[in-house]
This record gives sequence, C-alpha cells and structure tokens, in this order.
Amino acid sequence: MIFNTGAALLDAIVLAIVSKETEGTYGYKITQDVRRAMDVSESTLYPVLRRLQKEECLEAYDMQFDGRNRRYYKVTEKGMAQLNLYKVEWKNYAKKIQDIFEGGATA
Amino acid sequence: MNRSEFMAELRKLLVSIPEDDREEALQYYEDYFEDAGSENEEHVIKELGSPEKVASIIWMDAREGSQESGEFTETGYTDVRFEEKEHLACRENPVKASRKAEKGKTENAYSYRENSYATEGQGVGSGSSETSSPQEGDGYGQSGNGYGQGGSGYGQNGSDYGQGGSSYGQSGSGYARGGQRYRQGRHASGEMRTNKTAKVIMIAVLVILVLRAFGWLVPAAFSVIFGIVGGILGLLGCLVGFAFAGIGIAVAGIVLLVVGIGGLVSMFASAILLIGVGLLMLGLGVAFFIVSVKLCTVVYPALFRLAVNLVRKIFVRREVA
Repeated sequence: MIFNTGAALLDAIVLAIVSKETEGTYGYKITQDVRRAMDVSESTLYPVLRRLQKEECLEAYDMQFDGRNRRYYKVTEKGMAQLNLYKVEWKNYAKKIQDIFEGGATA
Repeated sequence: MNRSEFMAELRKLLVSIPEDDREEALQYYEDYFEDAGSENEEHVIKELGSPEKVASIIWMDAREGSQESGEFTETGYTDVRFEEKEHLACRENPVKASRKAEKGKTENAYSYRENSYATEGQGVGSGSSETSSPQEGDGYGQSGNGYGQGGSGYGQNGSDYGQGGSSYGQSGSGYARGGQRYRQGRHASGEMRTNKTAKVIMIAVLVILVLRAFGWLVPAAFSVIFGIVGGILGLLGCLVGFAFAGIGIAVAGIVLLVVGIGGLVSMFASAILLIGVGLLMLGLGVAFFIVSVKLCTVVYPALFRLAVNLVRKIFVRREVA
C-alpha cells in the first residue's frame, strides 16, 4: 500500500472486523483479518484492541475454548456508534478524494 | 528463542507496569501463540520481533495512548518509535522501485500523513497542522522521560488516556481533521523521520538497558554515594583530629611549663626537665594546629579543585563525543 494511514483508520477497520462477528472474535483472528487488508505487524494490534477497550468501544470476555480460556472481543453500543461515525467520515473523505481525482471539483 | 523464553522475557520486561495491565498483555500473547498453533510459533516470534519491542509498545501505549504512534506505509503498519535504521533503509527501497516504475511521476506525489485524530487541542503533537517536526521530537523525548519514571508515569497516563477518550467522543465529526497533513516529497519527511527515529530508538534502548541493569545499578549507585560521603567525612575527621590534637598537646605543654616554673625553686632539675618537655609539647601542638590550618586552606581546596577538574573533564569528553 502506498498511502500512509493513521491510527483512526486502523481503529475503524478493527471495529468493523469485530462487529462482523456477533459472537465476538479473538486477537489472533482479528490480526489475520486485518492483515488481509494491510500488512500490519503482529505486535501492533494489541495496543489498538486495548485502546478501543479503554474507550469502551470494545468489551472483552473470556470463553472456554479447547480446554483453555480464550479472550474474546465484542463491539459495544458505543463502539457501533463510533464505527458508524468512522464509516460516514470515510465516505466523505473518499468522496472528496474521488472528486479531486476525477477532476470534477474546483472548490 | 522459543515461545516460553519469549514470554518469560516479556514478563520480566513488564514488571514496572500495573499487574492488571501486565497480566492482560501476557494473556493476550499467550492466546496469540496458542491460536497461531505450535507450527507457527517460530513465525510469530519473528513477526513480533524482540520481547523488548513488544514490551515498549505496551509501555508507550500505556503512557500516551498510541494515537499517533504508528502509521501505515507501503510496507505496512510501522511504528516510527521502534523502527530501526535498517528498516528505514528497506522502507525507502520500495519507494525508489515504484519511482522507477512510474518514471518520476511520484516526484509530484503528495505523501499523506495523518496523526493525532483523538486529542485535538491537547496532548503531544495534537491540534493544528502547524505542529512541526522538532516539536514532535521533543514530545518523544518527554515520553522517554516518562519511562524512566516507571510505574507512576504510567498511572498518570491512565487518566490522560481516559481524557483523550472522552474528548474523542465529544469532538464528534471533527475527529479526523486536526492532524491531517500533506507533505510534498518523500525525501524531506524521510529524513526527519530518521532523526526522530534515531532519537527514539536511543531512548528506548537506554530505558531497556537501565531497566535490565537495575539489579546492580542501585547497589552500585549507593556504594558510590556512600564512598564519596565517607571520603568527605574522613577528610573532615582528619582536620578536626589534627586541630584538637594540636590544641590538646599545646595545652598540656603550657600546663607542664607552668608546673615547671612553679617548682623551679624547690626541685630545680626536674623543673627544668618539665619546662623543656612543656616547651617541646607546646611547639608540637602549634605545629599540629598549623598543619590543620594548612589542610583547611591549601590541601582541601586543592583536592576539591582536582575533583572538580576531573568531573569537568569527563563531561567535556562526553560533550565532544
């Protein structure tokens, strides 16, 4: 990917990925899913998840899996609101860029 | 390094953060290894990098939130704080390659960078797009200091963090505006980043070294301090001893002198002896006293100057280096 992207987009992508799973999903899977879109290092996802958790956009809970506890993440209501905000912002942003690229806008 | 060594190392490096945070981070990475499966263990370790790197990311995050810690580049998400110089070098390569491919078109390309979406108007590097690179450098330096403080810095930041979160919610749709910045040309930004990165790496390495050396650093520092204090006390004792010895001997000499003069008539020979000894002791006492005064006025200042010069030399050499 040529374009540099800030933490907000990463937050948005993580929220979107987690929100797809109604039962919640776990760290390794989130990382793999994010990595389908962009080449994130494996050590960068933890701080993102943790931040989203602190901002109460994600909630974590433990569930038994394969005889051990696995930490799952789920999007909260606040997280959903945040995600929607991100989606709107992204749409506007993408549209502006698109307009410039297509040469329509002169404003 | 295998998984258990990696985890043990990580645990050691995280001792300075609150237990809850530590356990959660460790749990996360245990899970991560578990879910990756033992066949991917080596790959995961390679991907994660060193335990030091993982630990510093956790720290940094705890301290300032990672709102502006990282960015995506053509080689993926990178964190300027931990990138090493070699990595930077590699990172430039794809750009050069793509430049060749596009035959100079990228010369005109804008490199887009966004940061600090959350803390508009507060915190490091937040707010206006005027924020310049040197300032950011300072910011990083500050965060380095924070690490030195360890646990307390962390706690403080927990609350900073919360603030950031709430202002985030309030700022609503404005979240993405503050830090958007366009920069022309990759070279300029690349160079600036190199400086910043070098600084940050140095700080991180220092912090880790200090943390690792903590085991012997404290006793060593104590022994040095006690050594210096002991030396000073010794010198003082020496001074006081000489002075008092001088006074004591002089007083004894005077007493003998007086007794000798008193007995001059009744027992002449021993009186003369007493007077002689008294005079000798008086002389000796005065000599001791003079020595102590000399110590005070000549030797100690000289010693002091010597010490100051020594310290100054060390500092000067450091500055030169």
